[in-house]
Amino acid sequence: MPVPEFDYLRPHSLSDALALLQEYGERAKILAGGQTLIPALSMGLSRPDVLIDIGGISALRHIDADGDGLVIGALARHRELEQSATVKERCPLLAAAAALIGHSHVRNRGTIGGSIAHADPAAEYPVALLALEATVELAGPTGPQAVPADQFFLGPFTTAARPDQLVTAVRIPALDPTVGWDFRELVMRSGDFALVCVGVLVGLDGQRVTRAAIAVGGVGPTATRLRKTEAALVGQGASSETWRVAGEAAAREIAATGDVSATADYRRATTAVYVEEALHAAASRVR
Amino acid sequence: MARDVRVSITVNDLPYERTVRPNMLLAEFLRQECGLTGTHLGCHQGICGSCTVLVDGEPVKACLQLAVQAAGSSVTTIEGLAAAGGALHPIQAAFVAHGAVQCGFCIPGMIMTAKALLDGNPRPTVDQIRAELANNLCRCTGYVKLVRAVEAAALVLAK
Repeated sequence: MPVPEFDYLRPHSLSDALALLQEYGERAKILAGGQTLIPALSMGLSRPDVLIDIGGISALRHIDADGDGLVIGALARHRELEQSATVKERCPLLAAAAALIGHSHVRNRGTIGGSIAHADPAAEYPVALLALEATVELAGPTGPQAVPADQFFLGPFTTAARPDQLVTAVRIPALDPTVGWDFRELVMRSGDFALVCVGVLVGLDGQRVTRAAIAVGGVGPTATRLRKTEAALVGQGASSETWRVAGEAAAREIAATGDVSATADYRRATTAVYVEEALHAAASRVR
Repeated sequence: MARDVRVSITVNDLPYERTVRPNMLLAEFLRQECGLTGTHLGCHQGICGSCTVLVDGEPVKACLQLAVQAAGSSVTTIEGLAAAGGALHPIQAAFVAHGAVQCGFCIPGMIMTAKALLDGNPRPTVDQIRAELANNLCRCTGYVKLVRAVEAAALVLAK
Protein backbone atom coordinates (compact mmCIF):
# COMPACT_ATOMS: atom_id res chain seq x y z
CA MET A 1 0.00 0.00 0.00
CA PRO A 2 1.40 3.45 -0.84
CA VAL A 3 2.14 5.68 2.12
CA PRO A 4 -0.53 8.44 2.37
CA GLU A 5 0.66 11.94 1.45
CA PHE A 6 1.79 14.47 4.03
CA ASP A 7 3.90 17.59 4.25
CA TYR A 8 7.38 17.11 5.67
CA LEU A 9 8.98 19.63 7.99
CA ARG A 10 12.42 19.30 9.53
CA PRO A 11 13.09 21.81 12.33
CA HIS A 12 16.64 22.14 13.60
CA SER A 13 15.90 23.40 17.10
CA LEU A 14 13.56 22.40 19.88
CA SER A 15 11.87 25.82 19.84
CA ASP A 16 11.17 25.53 16.10
CA ALA A 17 9.74 22.03 16.63
CA LEU A 18 7.48 23.28 19.43
CA ALA A 19 6.27 26.19 17.29
CA LEU A 20 5.33 23.73 14.50
CA LEU A 21 3.54 21.49 17.00
CA GLN A 22 1.59 24.52 18.24
CA GLU A 23 0.67 25.40 14.68
CA TYR A 24 -0.43 21.95 13.50
CA GLY A 25 -1.53 20.28 16.76
CA GLU A 26 -3.20 16.93 16.23
CA ARG A 27 -2.82 17.20 12.44
CA ALA A 28 0.91 16.56 12.93
CA LYS A 29 2.93 13.53 13.96
CA ILE A 30 6.44 13.71 15.33
CA LEU A 31 8.95 11.59 13.40
CA ALA A 32 11.98 10.48 15.44
CA GLY A 33 13.62 7.20 14.35
CA GLY A 34 10.49 6.17 12.45
CA GLN A 35 10.76 2.46 13.22
CA THR A 36 7.14 2.35 14.37
CA LEU A 37 5.64 5.41 12.70
CA ILE A 38 6.74 4.57 9.15
CA PRO A 39 5.24 1.06 9.10
CA ALA A 40 2.11 2.60 10.71
CA LEU A 41 1.95 5.04 7.77
CA SER A 42 2.54 2.20 5.29
CA MET A 43 -0.32 0.22 6.84
CA GLY A 44 -2.64 3.23 6.89
CA LEU A 45 -2.85 3.15 10.70
CA SER A 46 -1.66 6.75 10.97
CA ARG A 47 -2.70 9.52 8.55
CA PRO A 48 -1.10 12.80 9.61
CA ASP A 49 -1.28 15.90 7.40
CA VAL A 50 2.20 16.91 8.50
CA LEU A 51 5.28 15.02 9.64
CA ILE A 52 7.60 16.99 11.91
CA ASP A 53 10.97 15.24 11.67
CA ILE A 54 12.94 16.01 14.84
CA GLY A 55 15.89 13.85 13.70
CA GLY A 56 17.95 16.94 12.95
CA ILE A 57 17.77 18.35 16.50
CA SER A 58 21.17 17.13 17.63
CA ALA A 59 20.70 18.59 21.15
CA LEU A 60 18.19 15.79 21.81
CA ARG A 61 20.66 12.98 21.05
CA HIS A 62 22.75 12.39 24.15
CA ILE A 63 23.43 9.99 27.03
CA ASP A 64 24.86 11.77 30.09
CA ALA A 65 25.71 11.09 33.71
CA ASP A 66 23.43 13.08 36.02
CA GLY A 67 24.78 12.96 39.57
CA ASP A 68 24.92 9.20 40.12
CA GLY A 69 22.02 8.69 37.71
CA LEU A 70 21.47 9.25 34.00
CA VAL A 71 19.80 11.75 31.73
CA ILE A 72 19.07 10.43 28.24
CA GLY A 73 17.96 12.59 25.32
CA ALA A 74 14.82 11.59 23.41
CA LEU A 75 16.81 10.82 20.25
CA ALA A 76 19.25 8.38 21.91
CA ARG A 77 18.94 5.19 19.91
CA HIS A 78 18.26 1.73 21.34
CA ARG A 79 21.62 0.51 20.04
CA GLU A 80 23.41 3.37 21.80
CA LEU A 81 21.70 2.58 25.12
CA GLU A 82 22.47 -1.13 24.66
CA GLN A 83 26.19 -0.46 24.09
CA SER A 84 26.88 2.68 26.19
CA ALA A 85 29.48 2.03 28.92
CA THR A 86 27.81 4.75 31.03
CA VAL A 87 24.43 3.04 30.83
CA LYS A 88 25.88 -0.43 31.47
CA GLU A 89 27.70 0.83 34.55
CA ARG A 90 24.96 3.01 36.04
CA CYS A 91 21.81 1.30 34.88
CA PRO A 92 22.41 -2.20 33.47
CA LEU A 93 18.65 -2.88 33.59
CA LEU A 94 18.10 -0.21 30.93
CA ALA A 95 20.89 -1.56 28.71
CA ALA A 96 19.37 -5.05 29.02
CA ALA A 97 15.91 -3.71 28.11
CA ALA A 98 17.26 -1.86 25.05
CA ALA A 99 19.03 -5.01 23.82
CA LEU A 100 15.69 -6.88 23.71
CA ILE A 101 13.98 -4.39 21.36
CA GLY A 102 13.30 -5.77 17.87
CA HIS A 103 16.39 -6.77 15.91
CA SER A 104 19.67 -4.89 15.56
CA HIS A 105 18.70 -2.98 12.38
CA VAL A 106 15.67 -1.52 14.14
CA ARG A 107 17.81 -0.71 17.19
CA ASN A 108 20.16 1.25 14.90
CA ARG A 109 17.40 3.76 14.17
CA GLY A 110 14.72 3.54 16.87
CA THR A 111 14.83 6.07 19.72
CA ILE A 112 13.87 6.00 23.40
CA GLY A 113 11.75 9.13 23.01
CA GLY A 114 9.85 7.69 20.07
CA SER A 115 9.20 4.43 21.86
CA ILE A 116 7.88 5.94 25.08
CA ALA A 117 5.78 8.58 23.28
CA HIS A 118 4.19 5.75 21.29
CA ALA A 119 3.52 3.76 24.51
CA ASP A 120 2.98 0.35 22.98
CA PRO A 121 1.63 -1.89 25.78
CA ALA A 122 4.19 -4.58 24.87
CA ALA A 123 7.23 -2.27 24.59
CA GLU A 124 10.30 -2.68 26.81
CA TYR A 125 11.05 0.91 27.91
CA PRO A 126 7.77 1.56 29.77
CA VAL A 127 8.50 -1.51 31.92
CA ALA A 128 12.09 -0.42 32.51
CA LEU A 129 11.17 3.19 33.35
CA LEU A 130 8.45 2.11 35.79
CA ALA A 131 10.80 -0.29 37.61
CA LEU A 132 13.54 2.37 37.75
CA GLU A 133 11.15 5.16 38.88
CA ALA A 134 12.36 7.31 36.02
CA THR A 135 10.98 10.72 35.07
CA VAL A 136 9.90 11.69 31.56
CA GLU A 137 10.75 15.27 30.61
CA LEU A 138 8.42 17.13 28.26
CA ALA A 139 8.70 20.48 26.51
CA GLY A 140 5.71 22.53 25.40
CA PRO A 141 4.26 26.01 25.07
CA THR A 142 3.93 26.33 28.85
CA GLY A 143 7.55 25.31 29.46
CA PRO A 144 9.26 22.13 30.58
CA GLN A 145 7.41 19.54 32.63
CA ALA A 146 8.70 16.44 34.43
CA VAL A 147 6.29 13.54 34.73
CA PRO A 148 7.04 10.44 36.85
CA ALA A 149 6.87 7.28 34.73
CA ASP A 150 3.95 5.92 36.75
CA GLN A 151 1.89 8.96 35.78
CA PHE A 152 3.08 9.02 32.15
CA PHE A 153 1.85 5.71 30.71
CA LEU A 154 -1.94 6.01 30.91
CA GLY A 155 -3.17 3.25 28.60
CA PRO A 156 -2.55 1.54 25.28
CA PHE A 157 -0.76 4.06 23.03
CA THR A 158 -1.80 6.81 25.48
CA THR A 159 0.49 9.00 27.58
CA ALA A 160 0.23 12.12 29.73
CA ALA A 161 1.93 14.18 26.97
CA ARG A 162 -0.47 16.66 25.36
CA PRO A 163 -0.52 17.05 21.54
CA ASP A 164 1.50 20.29 21.83
CA GLN A 165 4.18 18.65 24.01
CA LEU A 166 7.31 16.78 22.98
CA VAL A 167 9.29 14.18 24.95
CA THR A 168 12.79 15.66 25.33
CA ALA A 169 14.55 13.37 27.81
CA VAL A 170 14.33 10.61 30.38
CA ARG A 171 15.92 11.00 33.80
CA ILE A 172 16.92 7.84 35.65
CA PRO A 173 17.70 8.11 39.37
CA ALA A 174 20.91 6.66 40.78
CA LEU A 175 20.64 2.98 41.58
CA ASP A 176 21.99 1.91 44.98
CA PRO A 177 24.68 -0.68 44.19
CA THR A 178 23.21 -2.93 46.87
CA VAL A 179 20.02 -3.22 44.82
CA GLY A 180 19.84 -6.15 42.39
CA TRP A 181 18.02 -5.94 39.08
CA ASP A 182 16.67 -8.14 36.32
CA PHE A 183 14.89 -7.66 33.01
CA ARG A 184 13.50 -10.47 30.89
CA GLU A 185 10.71 -11.17 28.45
CA LEU A 186 8.84 -14.01 26.80
CA VAL A 187 8.68 -13.87 23.00
CA MET A 188 7.69 -16.51 20.46
CA ARG A 189 10.61 -15.54 18.18
CA SER A 190 13.51 -13.19 18.89
CA GLY A 191 12.56 -9.62 18.01
CA ASP A 192 8.82 -10.13 18.43
CA PHE A 193 6.69 -8.07 20.78
CA ALA A 194 6.75 -9.49 24.29
CA LEU A 195 3.91 -11.65 25.57
CA VAL A 196 5.28 -11.00 29.06
CA CYS A 197 7.96 -8.43 29.87
CA VAL A 198 9.28 -8.08 33.43
CA GLY A 199 11.65 -5.57 35.06
CA VAL A 200 12.48 -5.88 38.77
CA LEU A 201 14.65 -4.35 41.47
CA VAL A 202 15.32 -6.15 44.75
CA GLY A 203 17.04 -4.66 47.82
CA LEU A 204 18.25 -7.01 50.56
CA ASP A 205 19.41 -6.39 54.11
CA GLY A 206 21.23 -9.62 54.82
CA GLN A 207 18.56 -12.16 53.96
CA ARG A 208 15.53 -9.86 54.29
CA VAL A 209 13.85 -8.02 51.40
CA THR A 210 13.97 -4.26 52.07
CA ARG A 211 12.82 -3.00 48.71
CA ALA A 212 11.03 -4.45 45.72
CA ALA A 213 9.95 -2.92 42.42
CA ILE A 214 8.12 -5.15 39.94
CA ALA A 215 6.99 -3.76 36.59
CA VAL A 216 5.21 -5.85 33.97
CA GLY A 217 4.29 -5.17 30.34
CA GLY A 218 2.92 -7.08 27.37
CA VAL A 219 0.20 -8.73 29.46
CA GLY A 220 -2.54 -6.10 29.42
CA PRO A 221 -3.56 -2.61 28.29
CA THR A 222 -0.46 -0.85 29.65
CA ALA A 223 2.79 -1.48 31.50
CA THR A 224 2.23 -1.30 35.23
CA ARG A 225 3.88 -1.61 38.66
CA LEU A 226 2.58 -4.44 40.81
CA ARG A 227 2.29 -2.51 44.09
CA LYS A 228 0.40 -5.16 46.06
CA THR A 229 2.89 -7.88 45.20
CA GLU A 230 5.77 -5.54 46.04
CA ALA A 231 4.27 -4.61 49.43
CA ALA A 232 3.77 -8.26 50.35
CA LEU A 233 7.36 -9.05 49.39
CA VAL A 234 9.04 -6.42 51.58
CA GLY A 235 10.06 -7.91 54.93
CA GLN A 236 10.10 -11.49 53.64
CA GLY A 237 13.18 -13.69 53.81
CA ALA A 238 15.07 -14.11 50.54
CA SER A 239 14.30 -17.68 49.45
CA SER A 240 13.11 -19.66 46.46
CA GLU A 241 9.74 -20.02 48.19
CA THR A 242 9.44 -16.22 48.60
CA TRP A 243 10.09 -15.67 44.90
CA ARG A 244 7.62 -18.39 43.94
CA VAL A 245 4.86 -16.92 46.14
CA ALA A 246 5.54 -13.43 44.73
CA GLY A 247 5.30 -14.80 41.17
CA GLU A 248 1.88 -16.25 41.95
CA ALA A 249 0.78 -12.97 43.54
CA ALA A 250 1.95 -11.10 40.42
CA ALA A 251 -0.13 -13.40 38.22
CA ARG A 252 -3.20 -12.53 40.33
CA GLU A 253 -2.47 -8.79 40.31
CA ILE A 254 -2.08 -8.23 36.54
CA ALA A 255 -5.07 -7.33 34.37
CA ALA A 256 -4.22 -9.96 31.75
CA THR A 257 -5.84 -9.80 28.33
CA GLY A 258 -6.05 -12.48 25.67
CA ASP A 259 -5.39 -11.88 21.99
CA VAL A 260 -4.31 -13.71 18.84
CA SER A 261 -0.83 -14.32 20.33
CA ALA A 262 -1.76 -15.72 23.75
CA THR A 263 -4.74 -16.24 26.05
CA ALA A 264 -5.12 -14.33 29.33
CA ASP A 265 -4.59 -17.61 31.23
CA TYR A 266 -1.32 -18.20 29.39
CA ARG A 267 -0.14 -14.68 30.22
CA ARG A 268 -0.99 -15.18 33.92
CA ALA A 269 0.77 -18.54 34.05
CA THR A 270 3.91 -17.25 32.36
CA THR A 271 3.91 -14.00 34.38
CA ALA A 272 4.14 -16.14 37.55
CA VAL A 273 7.21 -17.91 36.16
CA TYR A 274 8.90 -14.81 34.72
CA VAL A 275 8.41 -12.72 37.89
CA GLU A 276 9.67 -15.61 40.06
CA GLU A 277 12.77 -16.06 37.89
CA ALA A 278 13.42 -12.31 37.64
CA LEU A 279 13.26 -11.87 41.43
CA HIS A 280 15.59 -14.84 41.92
CA ALA A 281 18.08 -13.40 39.41
CA ALA A 282 17.85 -9.88 40.88
CA ALA A 283 18.48 -11.17 44.41
CA SER A 284 21.56 -13.02 43.15
CA ARG A 285 22.91 -9.73 41.78
CA VAL A 286 22.75 -7.95 45.17
CA ARG A 287 26.30 -7.16 46.24
CA MET B 1 -1.30 18.76 -1.63
CA ALA B 2 1.98 17.64 -0.18
CA ARG B 3 4.97 19.75 -1.08
CA ASP B 4 7.80 17.91 -2.83
CA VAL B 5 11.28 18.01 -1.34
CA ARG B 6 14.65 18.30 -3.06
CA VAL B 7 17.08 15.69 -1.75
CA SER B 8 20.64 14.73 -2.48
CA ILE B 9 21.65 11.18 -1.57
CA THR B 10 24.89 9.42 -2.42
CA VAL B 11 24.22 5.85 -3.52
CA ASN B 12 27.11 3.45 -4.17
CA ASP B 13 29.43 6.49 -4.40
CA LEU B 14 27.31 8.24 -7.06
CA PRO B 15 25.35 11.43 -6.23
CA TYR B 16 21.60 11.41 -6.92
CA GLU B 17 19.76 14.74 -6.76
CA ARG B 18 16.02 14.33 -7.03
CA THR B 19 12.76 16.06 -6.16
CA VAL B 20 10.66 13.53 -4.25
CA ARG B 21 7.32 13.20 -2.57
CA PRO B 22 7.79 13.28 1.23
CA ASN B 23 6.05 9.90 1.51
CA MET B 24 8.56 8.11 -0.72
CA LEU B 25 10.36 5.36 1.18
CA LEU B 26 14.13 5.09 0.88
CA ALA B 27 13.58 1.66 -0.70
CA GLU B 28 11.30 3.23 -3.33
CA PHE B 29 13.88 5.95 -3.99
CA LEU B 30 16.56 3.32 -4.64
CA ARG B 31 14.32 1.29 -6.95
CA GLN B 32 12.45 4.04 -8.80
CA GLU B 33 14.82 7.03 -8.81
CA CYS B 34 18.14 5.17 -8.97
CA GLY B 35 16.95 2.11 -10.88
CA LEU B 36 18.64 -0.12 -8.32
CA THR B 37 16.11 -2.91 -8.05
CA GLY B 38 18.33 -5.24 -6.05
CA THR B 39 16.86 -3.68 -2.91
CA HIS B 40 13.64 -5.67 -2.56
CA LEU B 41 10.46 -4.50 -0.83
CA GLY B 42 8.78 -7.39 0.91
CA CYS B 43 6.67 -6.64 3.96
CA HIS B 44 6.74 -2.82 4.29
CA GLN B 45 6.84 -3.38 8.06
CA GLY B 46 10.49 -3.87 8.94
CA ILE B 47 10.04 -7.59 9.49
CA CYS B 48 11.42 -9.40 6.43
CA GLY B 49 14.69 -7.50 5.95
CA SER B 50 14.82 -7.85 2.14
CA CYS B 51 15.21 -4.06 1.82
CA THR B 52 18.32 -3.94 4.07
CA VAL B 53 20.90 -1.37 2.94
CA LEU B 54 23.76 0.44 4.64
CA VAL B 55 23.18 4.11 5.48
CA ASP B 56 26.46 5.77 6.46
CA GLY B 57 27.80 2.26 7.09
CA GLU B 58 24.96 1.15 9.37
CA PRO B 59 22.48 -1.54 8.33
CA VAL B 60 18.92 -0.24 8.21
CA LYS B 61 15.64 -1.35 6.71
CA ALA B 62 14.93 0.90 3.75
CA CYS B 63 11.15 0.41 4.19
CA LEU B 64 11.39 1.99 7.64
CA GLN B 65 13.00 5.16 6.42
CA LEU B 66 11.76 7.95 4.17
CA ALA B 67 13.96 9.10 1.31
CA VAL B 68 13.85 12.64 2.77
CA GLN B 69 15.34 11.33 6.01
CA ALA B 70 18.34 10.00 4.08
CA ALA B 71 19.11 13.40 2.53
CA GLY B 72 22.84 14.02 2.78
CA SER B 73 23.56 10.38 3.63
CA SER B 74 25.68 7.83 1.83
CA VAL B 75 23.86 4.61 1.01
CA THR B 76 25.34 1.27 -0.06
CA THR B 77 23.08 -1.26 -1.79
CA ILE B 78 23.70 -4.78 -3.05
CA GLU B 79 24.70 -3.28 -6.43
CA GLY B 80 27.57 -1.49 -4.66
CA LEU B 81 29.36 -4.66 -3.55
CA ALA B 82 30.70 -6.31 -6.70
CA ALA B 83 33.93 -4.85 -8.06
CA ALA B 84 33.95 -2.79 -11.24
CA GLY B 85 34.02 -5.37 -14.02
CA GLY B 86 31.56 -7.56 -12.16
CA ALA B 87 33.77 -9.77 -9.97
CA LEU B 88 31.61 -10.90 -7.05
CA HIS B 89 32.30 -9.60 -3.56
CA PRO B 90 33.65 -12.43 -1.33
CA ILE B 91 30.33 -12.54 0.56
CA GLN B 92 28.41 -12.93 -2.70
CA ALA B 93 30.86 -15.60 -3.88
CA ALA B 94 30.50 -17.49 -0.58
CA PHE B 95 26.69 -17.42 -0.86
CA VAL B 96 26.93 -18.98 -4.32
CA ALA B 97 29.59 -21.52 -3.34
CA HIS B 98 27.66 -22.72 -0.27
CA GLY B 99 24.27 -23.02 -1.95
CA ALA B 100 22.84 -20.31 0.30
CA VAL B 101 20.71 -18.89 -2.51
CA GLN B 102 17.43 -20.60 -3.34
CA CYS B 103 14.68 -18.33 -4.73
CA GLY B 104 16.93 -15.33 -4.10
CA PHE B 105 14.35 -12.79 -2.98
CA CYS B 106 15.83 -12.33 0.49
CA ILE B 107 19.47 -12.56 -0.59
CA PRO B 108 20.31 -8.87 -1.18
CA GLY B 109 19.13 -8.09 2.35
CA MET B 110 20.91 -11.11 3.78
CA ILE B 111 24.16 -10.10 2.11
CA MET B 112 23.92 -6.47 3.27
CA THR B 113 23.32 -7.69 6.83
CA ALA B 114 26.35 -9.98 6.52
CA LYS B 115 28.43 -7.12 5.10
CA ALA B 116 27.61 -4.85 8.06
CA LEU B 117 28.33 -7.67 10.50
CA LEU B 118 31.73 -8.52 9.00
CA ASP B 119 32.69 -4.85 8.64
CA GLY B 120 32.29 -4.40 12.40
CA ASN B 121 33.23 -7.90 13.58
CA PRO B 122 35.54 -9.73 11.14
CA ARG B 123 35.50 -13.03 13.09
CA PRO B 124 31.97 -13.46 14.44
CA THR B 125 30.87 -16.56 16.33
CA VAL B 126 28.08 -18.70 14.90
CA ASP B 127 25.75 -17.28 17.56
CA GLN B 128 26.62 -13.74 16.51
CA ILE B 129 25.99 -14.60 12.84
CA ARG B 130 22.64 -16.14 13.73
CA ALA B 131 21.66 -13.10 15.86
CA GLU B 132 22.40 -10.71 12.97
CA LEU B 133 20.75 -12.84 10.30
CA ALA B 134 17.64 -12.80 12.52
CA ASN B 135 17.07 -9.36 10.96
CA ASN B 136 16.20 -11.14 7.71
CA LEU B 137 13.66 -13.80 6.79
CA CYS B 138 14.21 -16.56 4.22
CA ARG B 139 11.08 -18.42 3.20
CA CYS B 140 13.01 -21.19 1.45
CA THR B 141 14.29 -22.22 4.94
CA GLY B 142 17.91 -22.01 3.91
CA TYR B 143 19.30 -20.71 7.20
CA VAL B 144 21.98 -23.34 7.82
CA LYS B 145 23.65 -22.66 4.48
CA LEU B 146 23.31 -18.92 5.00
CA VAL B 147 25.20 -19.16 8.30
CA ARG B 148 27.88 -21.36 6.70
CA ALA B 149 28.25 -18.91 3.83
CA VAL B 150 28.84 -16.00 6.23
CA GLU B 151 31.40 -18.07 8.17
CA ALA B 152 33.20 -18.90 4.93
CA ALA B 153 33.12 -15.27 3.76
CA ALA B 154 34.64 -14.19 7.07
CA LEU B 155 37.58 -16.55 6.50
CA VAL B 156 38.16 -15.24 2.96
CA LEU B 157 37.90 -11.59 4.03
CA ALA B 158 40.32 -12.16 6.94
CA LYS B 159 43.07 -13.20 4.51
